[in-house]
Amino acid sequence: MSDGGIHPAKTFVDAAHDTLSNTQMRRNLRHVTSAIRDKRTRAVSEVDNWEDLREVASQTKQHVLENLETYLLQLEESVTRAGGQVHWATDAREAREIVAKIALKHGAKEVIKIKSITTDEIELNGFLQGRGVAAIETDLAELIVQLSHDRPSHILVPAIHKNRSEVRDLFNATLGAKLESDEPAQIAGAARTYLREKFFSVKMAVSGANFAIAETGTVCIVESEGNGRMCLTLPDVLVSIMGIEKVLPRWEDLAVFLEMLPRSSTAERMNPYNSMWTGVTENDGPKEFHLVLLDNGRTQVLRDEVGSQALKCIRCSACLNVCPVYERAGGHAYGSVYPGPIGAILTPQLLEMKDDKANTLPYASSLCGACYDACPVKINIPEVLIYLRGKVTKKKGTTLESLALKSMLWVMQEPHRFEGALKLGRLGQGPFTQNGKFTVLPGLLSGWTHSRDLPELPKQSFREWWKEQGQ
Amino acid sequence: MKEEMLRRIRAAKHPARTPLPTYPARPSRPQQETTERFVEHVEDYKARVQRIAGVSQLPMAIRRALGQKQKVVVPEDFPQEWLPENLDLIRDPGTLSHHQIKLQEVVITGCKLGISDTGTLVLDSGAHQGRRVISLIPDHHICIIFTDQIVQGVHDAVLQLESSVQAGQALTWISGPSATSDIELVRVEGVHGPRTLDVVLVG
Ligand code: SF4
Repeated sequence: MSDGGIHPAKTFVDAAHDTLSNTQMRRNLRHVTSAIRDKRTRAVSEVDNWEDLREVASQTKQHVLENLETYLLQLEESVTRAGGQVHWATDAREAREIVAKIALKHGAKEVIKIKSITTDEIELNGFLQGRGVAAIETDLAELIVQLSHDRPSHILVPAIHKNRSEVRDLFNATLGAKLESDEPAQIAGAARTYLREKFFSVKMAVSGANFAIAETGTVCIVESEGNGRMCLTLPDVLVSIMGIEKVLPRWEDLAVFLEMLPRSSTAERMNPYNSMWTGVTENDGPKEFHLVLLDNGRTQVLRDEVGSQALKCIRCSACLNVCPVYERAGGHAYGSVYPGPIGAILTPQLLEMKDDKANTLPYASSLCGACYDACPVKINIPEVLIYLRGKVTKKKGTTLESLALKSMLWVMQEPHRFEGALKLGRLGQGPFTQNGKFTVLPGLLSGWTHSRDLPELPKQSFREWWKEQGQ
Repeated sequence: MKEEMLRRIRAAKHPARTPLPTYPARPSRPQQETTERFVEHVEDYKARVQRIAGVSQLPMAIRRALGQKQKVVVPEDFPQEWLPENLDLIRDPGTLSHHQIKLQEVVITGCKLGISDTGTLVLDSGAHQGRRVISLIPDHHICIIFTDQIVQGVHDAVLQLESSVQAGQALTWISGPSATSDIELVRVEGVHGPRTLDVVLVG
């Protein structure tokens, strides 16, 4: 199944066992995450005022969350004025029905798709198939995932868990390609041949959206391969599905995100292609444009002062690549289209903290803080993790553990307290470590070390190091 | 369902207390440095850059970029005197079919501006650029840019593009040829977009 949605089938610990016992997958993961980490550090260090930009990005997103109604209404008006149609979907079911209805109206038997986690979130492909509409993924990695009936394991590189020879064998078996070499260029060539025919014949495309501007009605998609441009330009009908939190107030507000997103995600100065369009343009691109605004639990997340910062996420995947737990457990362990640290705080909240399996996700972290330092919009992921753990234990009544969590929360709220706690943690971890790994953790965390070893807290945190560099 | 969603947003009662921030000012670089960094960054994406002194040298530079290729598509308003002679040339008045465009090997366009910090070309369907589809389908894109079209950063570009967006023009930002890193993070040039990008910088 390439669909998966956001409902984990297992607890995190159970699911993580699958990856931990798959040596090939772990090797692929380690290789890729460490390569991206190094590149990202270089891409970020080129921008002198990166920290200022993080602040601007964070505040812009916060401002949007605080004024969401205003901007969504403004967006609806400007998209409509530019010749587009806007739909509102309270949940996944409504969103799927809207897309299916448009496909039906145009008699579409096939739709081409641009990689979009939002459409995976609402499990669109399987649903369309049930209605007799085949959804064809056009992003190379998504195509790999779709053809192997697998699930994406990374936001940015969904097939990160597969290596080149696995992909070659897959294309030979499913696309009738006759590849002998497993050179990535040859493999990409086979995908090009297969998809080019689709781009010119399929009349409807479905996409997500990275940003939409309330003021102008402009929608923006960033991509690398050009499959996005094909889908956005060639078909007659385009449907874009967007989480409501992705709206931006003014055209100018786009700048900071276009500056930060590529450096944080693919570690490039800019990704190869960005497309921005406003409604419908005569003689240029689709004749019909639909924008679907998706809630699906987001307004519930919005209610929570602490937890709602998860809605600032721009899906860059930087937090995945720096996370020691993600690197070992892999994306599938999170049981949701949102893996890694962001998944650990977003998935349980989108399910309104009512899903027992999703509620194990906030424990899938060593609270090392690397995700917070990497996040371009400054989501305090460790803070939210601890806070959500508190919510989970509160449901089970007050225990010693929840008291411990409350003090942890107090600690995490202020940077100086956090640093103090880290120092204490390093001093205090002596009795529990062996060969540089945590083997047994007291209390709450014992369930975690039960199944695996945690690395020791670093000798020096990033914050301390940063300070030492005189920044 | 719009009303229900708006009701839920209101029920969340998120207090409005964070103002929209202003973009931090940055010292500007001399134009020459901006130009040099632009060239360097475009070349980093494995695009080819030729620098020429004036438009009179354009036909020669374009000829060099074309190599053996003859079949070219250009937007309707592309100046004839910029082009070399003896091309198998079609102009797009905005009505060519996808199939007709597919028959051409190369597209030649101008652009709206270039971004030095990122090595990006931005097309806005304005002068010498034509529709989005012509710069997408052919496998080889030759893009002409003048030095005074190069801005320093992404923010400068966004400010300049505001009027195009207000006028409803679609934008395409191009940073190097089409590429993927989906297989083991090995960068492969050219998946679906043009596999070759040539930039001719004038002035
Ligand atoms: S939480 Fe931050 S770092 Fe993680 S994907 Fe979202 S924006 Fe990127």
